[in-house]
Amino acid sequence: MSWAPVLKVKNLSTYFYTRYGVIKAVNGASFTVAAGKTLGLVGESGCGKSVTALSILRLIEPPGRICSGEVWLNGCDLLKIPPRQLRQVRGREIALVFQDPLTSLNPVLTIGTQLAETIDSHEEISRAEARRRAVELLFRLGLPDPERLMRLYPFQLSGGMRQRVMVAMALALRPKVLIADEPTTALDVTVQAQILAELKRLQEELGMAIVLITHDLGVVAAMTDEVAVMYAGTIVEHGPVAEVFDRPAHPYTRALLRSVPRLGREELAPVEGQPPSLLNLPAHCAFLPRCLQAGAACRGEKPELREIGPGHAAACHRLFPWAG
Amino acid sequence: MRVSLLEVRDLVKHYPGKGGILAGRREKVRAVDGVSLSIARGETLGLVGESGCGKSTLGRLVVRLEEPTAGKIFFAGQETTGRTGRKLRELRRRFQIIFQDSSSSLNPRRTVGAIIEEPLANFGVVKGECRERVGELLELVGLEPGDASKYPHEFSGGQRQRINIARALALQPELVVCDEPVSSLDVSIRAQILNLLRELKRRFNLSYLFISHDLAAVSYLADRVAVMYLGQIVEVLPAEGLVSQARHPYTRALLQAVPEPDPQQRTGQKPVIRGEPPDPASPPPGCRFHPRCPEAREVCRQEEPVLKKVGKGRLVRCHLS
Ligand SMILES: Nc1ncnc2c1ncn2[C@@H]1O[C@H](COP(=O)(O)OP(=O)(O)OP(=O)(O)O)[C@@H](O)[C@H]1O
Ligand SMILES: Nc1ncnc2c1ncn2[C@@H]1O[C@H](COP(=O)(O)OP(=O)(O)OP(=O)(O)O)[C@@H](O)[C@H]1O
Ligand code: SF4
Ligand code: SF4
Ligand SMILES: [Mg+2]
Ligand SMILES: [Mg+2]
Repeated sequence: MSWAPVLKVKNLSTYFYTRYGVIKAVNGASFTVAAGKTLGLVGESGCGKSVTALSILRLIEPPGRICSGEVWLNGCDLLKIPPRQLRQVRGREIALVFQDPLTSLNPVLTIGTQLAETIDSHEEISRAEARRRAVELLFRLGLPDPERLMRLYPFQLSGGMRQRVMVAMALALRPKVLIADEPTTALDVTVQAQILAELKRLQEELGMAIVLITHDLGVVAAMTDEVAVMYAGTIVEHGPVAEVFDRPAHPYTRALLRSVPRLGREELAPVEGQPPSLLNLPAHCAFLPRCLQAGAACRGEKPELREIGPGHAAACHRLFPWAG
Repeated sequence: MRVSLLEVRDLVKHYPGKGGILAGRREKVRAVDGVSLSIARGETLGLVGESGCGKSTLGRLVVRLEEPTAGKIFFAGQETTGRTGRKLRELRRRFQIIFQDSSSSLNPRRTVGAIIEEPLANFGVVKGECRERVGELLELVGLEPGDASKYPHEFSGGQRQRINIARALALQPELVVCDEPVSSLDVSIRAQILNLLRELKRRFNLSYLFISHDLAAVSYLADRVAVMYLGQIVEVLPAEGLVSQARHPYTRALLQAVPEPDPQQRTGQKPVIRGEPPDPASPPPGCRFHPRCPEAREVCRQEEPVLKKVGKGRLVRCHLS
């Protein structure tokens, strides 16, 4: 078992200094991913998953700022290295599939040009070779007639086709770490299965680590080795996927798992209550107002993430009985 | 007979294909290739199908954002195809669309309030009333009235989708084309939005064309489901029979591919459909699904199956049915 983490995020905090106050989008998040493994990052809308991903690659723009933390990749802290070195690392060592394909593709360049540029800006290969590699990638991602597709502009593609182009862009340089932010939301389940299988195949071939951000717990169950559950900008539970699904320890994780809609089941059971305002987070546990298990201890300090089993950690004062 | 709110007949949309010169022939991308369907008042038709099969194109045609190559569309008994200018505008407020790429369909330079207000102002709602309505709409979709003064980039993906929904509902339309309205939402908000759409449907007798890859969401919200493959409808069936009664081999493959939220039941993510993805610029002869169909036989390679009735409210396009 190789447990050496290739990516290590420690105490990451990213705030947005807006005219109506400071939004604490990410709030001391810590997690690790091992080489060749997949970590699922889950949590409700607005909890800070995308901001975490953007922070790891230092893509946060003002009024946002990474206030503290460390992001270790191959022995360097990405938050400290000079910009020139950072550009080398982006794409080659660590790549991101953005959540929103349209805003991250250039509308006036063909898919082929964009893909080939990504590839040959980092590698000493000819444009023709770069194009050949791009076509091959598109084909692997199940896109029909990739040669023709290379000549199209983003608006001429369907939503799911654009999303696969984004995945291809991120994979083009065979990164060591891939952060994929909702990479299959625009895909039907059969194409999704194909893309996930392709990611797995590449992962094995390259020993790539994947951070998979998704709302689909079915995808988490099928794809990941570990899961990290995020709530209000912090990781509240982290552990092996089977362990977390079978013995969820944090009350939020349990509510989340209960809320999964299943085909052919009528009722929906959303997590009750509203997510907290990130403008004024309480000093105590942020889940308190919605927690069915809260007790007196919960009004005290914010709970720390602590080990409750092998590789399994949770941040809660009153862990569920079976969680040790 | 119940009058349909929307009636689509033999709708076709072909895009000019690129590379015609190189390939020595002029290819057409057959995005929508002969689709007929109807939606009754207060009814929700779910539309599912492989990525790239033409769902969004069909949705855009229905709300008249694109001109069909052929075919007719009727809304509340009136033909909308061929209408332009004022005659189209009158009908336009009665059908709305929630776009698939939610973030990019919001103008980054305008506040959320201005974005939602725009359709209201366009159709002559007075200023003061607008503001109040914007607050109501934001609350309706689970945001706060105060969010009206913020800009789209200040919201997360899921929050932006709710802004889109609020905008689409602003004019109290009769038909809403929802193109993947819940795909970027987490399960809780998804449930809230689905319940909201259902509630609005009940309250205002709204009709939806509900395009989604989320089969659980479709079976929850839709009355009937239409399954599309490579520009054509291959199956129509009541939503409650989606799992048990689906007959078309493509529909069945789709249902089989839904990942179970249970790590013990990992299937190894084996793709259930094999073979090359279909190219809408050169659809296979005979049945369009035959190169990938596990049940294909000789006749499937030769003859194109027709969409035929196989029971009450059930249509299938397959030689075996
Ligand atoms: N540029 C910004 N300015 C102000 N606030 C922002 C900005 N970007 C994000 N936020 C806020 O930070 C919080 C976290 O956003 P983030 O995009 O990380 O959420 P998420 O977990 O990815 O949600 P989703 O699942 O909906 O994509 C949200 O409340 C959002 O409103
Ligand atoms: N403006 C356009 N010009 C040329 N081709 C187009 C254009 N718009 C769509 N297409 C093509 O039409 C086909 C259908 O696209 P459409 O967006 O309708 O698919 P979809 O079913 O919505 O897919 P998805 O589930 O991925 O969103 C695709 O092959 C696409 O490339
Ligand atoms: S610390 Fe208390 S309020 Fe927070 S999740 Fe645990 S039990 Fe609930
Ligand atoms: S007609 Fe033949 S190829 Fe087409 S779906 Fe039916 S069995 Fe399969
Ligand atoms: Mg996000
Ligand atoms: Mg689409």
